[in-house]
Amino acid sequence: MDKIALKLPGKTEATEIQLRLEGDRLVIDYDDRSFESRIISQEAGEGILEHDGRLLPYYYCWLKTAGGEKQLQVWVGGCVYTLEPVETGGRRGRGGGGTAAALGDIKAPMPGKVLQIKVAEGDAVVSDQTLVVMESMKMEMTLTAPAAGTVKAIACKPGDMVEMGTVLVKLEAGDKA
Amino acid sequence: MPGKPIKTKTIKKVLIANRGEIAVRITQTLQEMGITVVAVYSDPDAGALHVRKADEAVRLPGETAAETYLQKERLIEICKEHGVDAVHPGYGFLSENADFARLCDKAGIVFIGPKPDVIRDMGDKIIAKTTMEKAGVPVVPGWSGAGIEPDVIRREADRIGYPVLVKAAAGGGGKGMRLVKKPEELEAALEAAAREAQSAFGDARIFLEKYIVRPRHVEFQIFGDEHGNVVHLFERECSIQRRHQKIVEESPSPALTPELRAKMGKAAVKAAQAIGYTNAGTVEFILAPDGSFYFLEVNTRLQVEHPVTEMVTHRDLVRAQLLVAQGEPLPFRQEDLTQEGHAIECRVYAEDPARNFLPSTGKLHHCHPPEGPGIRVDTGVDTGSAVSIHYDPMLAKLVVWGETRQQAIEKARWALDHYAILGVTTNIQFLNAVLGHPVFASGDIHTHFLEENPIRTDMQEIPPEALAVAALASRNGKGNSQAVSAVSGVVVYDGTSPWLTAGKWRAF
Repeated sequence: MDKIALKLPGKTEATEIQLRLEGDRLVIDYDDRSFESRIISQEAGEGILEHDGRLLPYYYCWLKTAGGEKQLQVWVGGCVYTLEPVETGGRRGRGGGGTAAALGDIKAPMPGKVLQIKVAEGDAVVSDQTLVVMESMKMEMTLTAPAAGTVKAIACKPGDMVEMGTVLVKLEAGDKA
Repeated sequence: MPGKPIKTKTIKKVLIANRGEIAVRITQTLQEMGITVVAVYSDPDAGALHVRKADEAVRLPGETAAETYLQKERLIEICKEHGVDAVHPGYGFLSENADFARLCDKAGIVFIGPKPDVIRDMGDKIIAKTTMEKAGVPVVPGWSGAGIEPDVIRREADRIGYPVLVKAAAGGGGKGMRLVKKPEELEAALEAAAREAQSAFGDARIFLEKYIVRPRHVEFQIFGDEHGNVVHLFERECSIQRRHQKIVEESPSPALTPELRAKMGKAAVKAAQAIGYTNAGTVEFILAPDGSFYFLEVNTRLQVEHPVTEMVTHRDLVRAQLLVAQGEPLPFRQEDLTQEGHAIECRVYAEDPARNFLPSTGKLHHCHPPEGPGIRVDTGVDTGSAVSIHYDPMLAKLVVWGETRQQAIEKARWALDHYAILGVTTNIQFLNAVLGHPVFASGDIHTHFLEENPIRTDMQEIPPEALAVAALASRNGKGNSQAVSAVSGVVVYDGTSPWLTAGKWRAF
């Protein structure tokens, strides 16, 4: 049996998901819910599941962002889901800190040039507030705060050429002091 | 026509001065015709699909377009070195570059497209508009003159009809522009626009243009040969745009009656004749809700969305381009051409709709286009391809044909549901939501469709089947790879995170 921690939409705490493989039956339990899929075929990065009486081809791949993070992309039923692994031993050990850390680092989504920094260290920011303006592929883009918080550190300056995944601003999410 | 070809030159070898899906698409037709294809490629494109499909390939050292695909002199040299008879420019890059067409002419290489002077003239919006107005093709009514005598301008505005746009002659970027909905607002708008134009451009001159409410973008495919024949291959409706970028195109337009189609087709042919147009081109019109239409511009190239026309007319436009470039007459007369069924094209981009359509780069770990009757995928990438920051992020054009518009929509949505791309983020689900929107289904669309009908993320739960796959992936990852051995689980971000998304796109 495997156990997997997932943070589901609308939840702050990770939900533990139990995965049981019995022959070709895949039993998944979470949140007092239980469902079952059948593995019809399984190869590297792809396969076919039977779920709810329907055959569903799927694909997945692991990606490594330039920032060194691993992401899991899943395609099933015509939709793509992007998921990110967490280390359950370290950061999550600090209780709610796991969520704050995940929201905290504002990274360059594309390689490009930093044009403007709109906040200073120690600033309190609100959700969607512009933090940094970047230019990439001749397009200007604004990087905004994913949630309310405090600017812990600024790790770039205007004119910097940055790689994708470079941490530009560190945010401390959550409570305003 | 069969029987008496007037072959003035035979093209045996063609260099395609382009990349990606259009190079692949052109390659196929040329090879069918027994023509040898020479591809060119930049360093990031070494091993790209368009190179693998070609018969010969020549490296253009460098990464950016300026260093590679836009190197006119180098391309001409390559043509000479490789015994190339003709160049196909595709779209973008050098396709509407009159200098390059002229360089080809000088070197004795056939440029597959219209004459250099036609490219130059149609590239100048003012010359184009004046030429069309003289030829009797309707243009957007407007007025430009010196000074801002309120009486003169008021009279002109009345003639044009409200609403009118007041624009700065030296303008750009919306500065010095005012929308005037009724006569009472005119005077204040004139003053404000002139003041703004003066401070922004140091030039207070303004002009008036009719403002078309809820305009449609309807364009006609035209084709001319060197024997004076000009035909049109009906229209393409391209009203679904984001920031002036077309994303869904179709033919026929749901807005055209047979009468209006005939009228607009005639105007398109007249426009082509007025400039002595040869080879494939497009006459773009703005269509107002009352059925009046106005010339916008002529695109002197094969368009991105040409497959839509190919699907409903059952004609190969690239083949016709080659024949015309060889000096042969057009392979079809107007009366041979029919528009059958309905075709829709969706442009699949490597971009993230949840992050303001930011281009997405990376390696395609999976790329599985849909297949089946009535489905055509023109693409320049496959599994393993890299999408770099250097070029247009369009991955593919998904084109479908159905007997009716409704059937074409159903087929396109099925195909999008079965189009699996992983490694970069795409707009596939976004396109599916556009096609599933009731307003799109009604056909009552216009160029502001996406502004009026926002397509937003659905904050739905991750469905169990996705959890099942994530669970399997995590389990397998642990077993066979050190890199992911530390992974003990996955976090699914909710839709509010700007960096990661999960879930479906839904029309609101």
